[in-house]
Amino acid sequence: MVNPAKLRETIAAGILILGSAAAAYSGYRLIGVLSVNAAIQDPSEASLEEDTAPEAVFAKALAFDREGDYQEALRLYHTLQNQADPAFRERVRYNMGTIYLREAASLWNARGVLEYTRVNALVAMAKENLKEALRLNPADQDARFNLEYAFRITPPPKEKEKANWQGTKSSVFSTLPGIPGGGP
Amino acid sequence: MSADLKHTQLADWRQRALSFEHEVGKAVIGLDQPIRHILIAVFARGHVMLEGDVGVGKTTLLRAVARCLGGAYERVEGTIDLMPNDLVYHTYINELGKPQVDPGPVLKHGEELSVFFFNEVNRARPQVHSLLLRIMAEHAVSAFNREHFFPYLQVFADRNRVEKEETFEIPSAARDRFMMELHIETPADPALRRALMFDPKFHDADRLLDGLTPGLLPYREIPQIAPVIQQSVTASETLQQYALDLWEATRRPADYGVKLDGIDMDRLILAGASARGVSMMMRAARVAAWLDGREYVVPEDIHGIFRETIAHRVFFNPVYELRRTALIDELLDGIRQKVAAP
Amino acid sequence: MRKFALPLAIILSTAAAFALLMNANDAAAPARFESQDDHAATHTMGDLIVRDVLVSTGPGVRIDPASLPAPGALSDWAEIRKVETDSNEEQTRIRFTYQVFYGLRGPETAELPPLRLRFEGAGGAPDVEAPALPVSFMPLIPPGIPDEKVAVRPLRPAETLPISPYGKWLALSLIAAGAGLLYLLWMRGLLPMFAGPLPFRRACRDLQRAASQPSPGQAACLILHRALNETAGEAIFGNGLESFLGRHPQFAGIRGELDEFFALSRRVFFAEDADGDAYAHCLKLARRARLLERRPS
Repeated sequence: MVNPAKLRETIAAGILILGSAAAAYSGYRLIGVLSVNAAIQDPSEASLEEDTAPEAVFAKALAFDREGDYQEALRLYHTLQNQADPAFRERVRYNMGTIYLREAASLWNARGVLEYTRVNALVAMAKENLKEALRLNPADQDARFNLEYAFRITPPPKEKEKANWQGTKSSVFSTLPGIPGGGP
Repeated sequence: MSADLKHTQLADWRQRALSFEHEVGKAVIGLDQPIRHILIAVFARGHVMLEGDVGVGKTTLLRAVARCLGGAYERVEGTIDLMPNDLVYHTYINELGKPQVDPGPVLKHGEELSVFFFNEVNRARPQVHSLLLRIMAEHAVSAFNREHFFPYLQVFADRNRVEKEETFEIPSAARDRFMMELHIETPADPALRRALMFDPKFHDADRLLDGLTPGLLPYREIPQIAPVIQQSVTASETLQQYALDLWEATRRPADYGVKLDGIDMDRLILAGASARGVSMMMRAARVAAWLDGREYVVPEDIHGIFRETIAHRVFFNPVYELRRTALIDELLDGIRQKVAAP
Repeated sequence: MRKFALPLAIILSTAAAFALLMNANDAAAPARFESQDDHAATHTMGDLIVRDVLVSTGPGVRIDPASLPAPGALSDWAEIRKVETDSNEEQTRIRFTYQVFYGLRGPETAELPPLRLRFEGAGGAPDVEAPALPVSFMPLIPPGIPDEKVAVRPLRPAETLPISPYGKWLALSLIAAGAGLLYLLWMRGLLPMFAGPLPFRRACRDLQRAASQPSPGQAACLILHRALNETAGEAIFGNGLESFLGRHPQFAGIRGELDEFFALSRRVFFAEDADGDAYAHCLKLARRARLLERRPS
């Protein structure tokens, strides 16, 4: 015969132990989440370790980029591109592509075809990453926009309107090294 | 009588009482409780009412008691036409053709009468009851212009509880004179039932009784030893208070927190136990303590005889009287549970 | 009219012969290209394009899965993402999902390349050709804006992790654990505000108070009896101990002490002996019972 008082006591003790275990677990996870969120809020303070949460690394990369160290930012993004979560990977890819594109565009807009090789390399990287972002999420309008822009500044650029040929900006053919203006 | 002598005497008597109990137990099986109660009644000098179905061994039990006690045993069947005089004498035409008057069952044995068994007492008329009550109360009867005394007499009566037709319920005053009312029931133990059915020993009651040692208790000395027992067994202050509480609880059970399902406790009791009743209860409790080898009464002694001495002294309101059998046990159990000692 | 009769007859007979020939041809061909949906919609960078090719097939004719293009890059601007086939007895529907990355400055049209699909089954293995599918594109960046004026879309910010399940879990599990703890404490009478009637707990207090009395033994027994009776809900006597322990098995461990206590109480109250060390015994028993007692129901 089961003694009801004993049974109630055992059940209460079981609830106590299970509840404590669950509380400890969720508290531990909550502290983890909060510390990651703190690192995300203020990435400059956070130090990077082996086991730093991906989102915190992402925030750190953003911070590096904001400070102008886009190389370090890209290096950090590279460490993140194999994460499991597709939505996160898409953001990583988008940011990488966009950084490459931004650098390519500023170089392109400043120097034109003089920096053909570097621009070409940067744009290729930008396109690869933005394409990957779109593969992960075809509906990403920003990625579409940036990718189209990347195609626009791919040397040799898609033909510009005639009006621009004589504009302030150097054009492909007029500035192509070794080819005198007006052709052969 | 010095204290030491008294002590030895009491111890001797206790041995005798226990061997009496053992001997009677040989003749009837499964009735250990009633035998113990009868033994208590013998030493407390009280009369016993038996109640039980037909053929459960009441007569055998009483004959065994009478044989082991010694003295004369007489038995009367209660019938509707039984008249008081039938107990005292009977008249007939003798072999010489002359009318003759002989002493009846009560007088036949004179003083030696020790056990008088009145079977089916509720079939007899109230006149007979009143004669019986006088014999019980005074151990005496008037007949043939003089008083006859029965100093060793103990009355056992049997009340048929099956038939209600042509019966005369014994008035409460009469029931109050019985020290105990015992319920005799067929043993519930299957092994004992089997023995009763198949053991040839139990088939011939006469031979069975002949095998018992007669006169184990010298019945003539019991009236002397009974007061000695009452004096030597003490009831402490606490026990007296407990007994008083029990008595009070039979009168006002609600005050002691006794509750029965679906019963208005304030209206249940018409009359609680009488003063004579509780005094008999204490007499019986003292004997029980003595039989248990103690010189003081404990609550368990009272518990052992509580139902037997009190149940027939509590009277319910007529509304509840019909359900008496069920209610009385519940009530007494409730009282036993609720009244604390100390 | 008559002079047209002959040429008309020739034309008709030729047509009839041709029709016959076509029919014969038709019956011989186990698989035939039926249609593919024309893409009237204009697409932009990154769009998914679904191309349904419908091929009618003769009985027992199945598409050869090896002839289907594998997902992956198709040209420098198109990729196949997914190829699904759906066949029944009469026709096979092949659904290609492309993703296009077509760089452009103004509206343009390009063609998704023709498809050659091989079928196999009764009547040989004829190839079915789906013609090229023209697709029209338009740019996302308005055509009039010069390259250097185009603003690159900003980087994605870091997202804070959701607290959602853990916060709720923490609260719920804390409530559960707290409830369990409170119940246990309450059962053992360790909650001062809800201490209520725990008879032996009170008996211990009363016993300490009774210590200063001249003969504490009897009072101590009385206190303990009351505690026992209260626990049982009825008066307990020495012979009722077993049934009491049956109903309150938590006290089974002190059966011996309880037996001793009843013997002691009998001596004190009914044999009217001196109470001796009754007080010490009662105090010890009450303390042990207090540790064992649990709140009823």
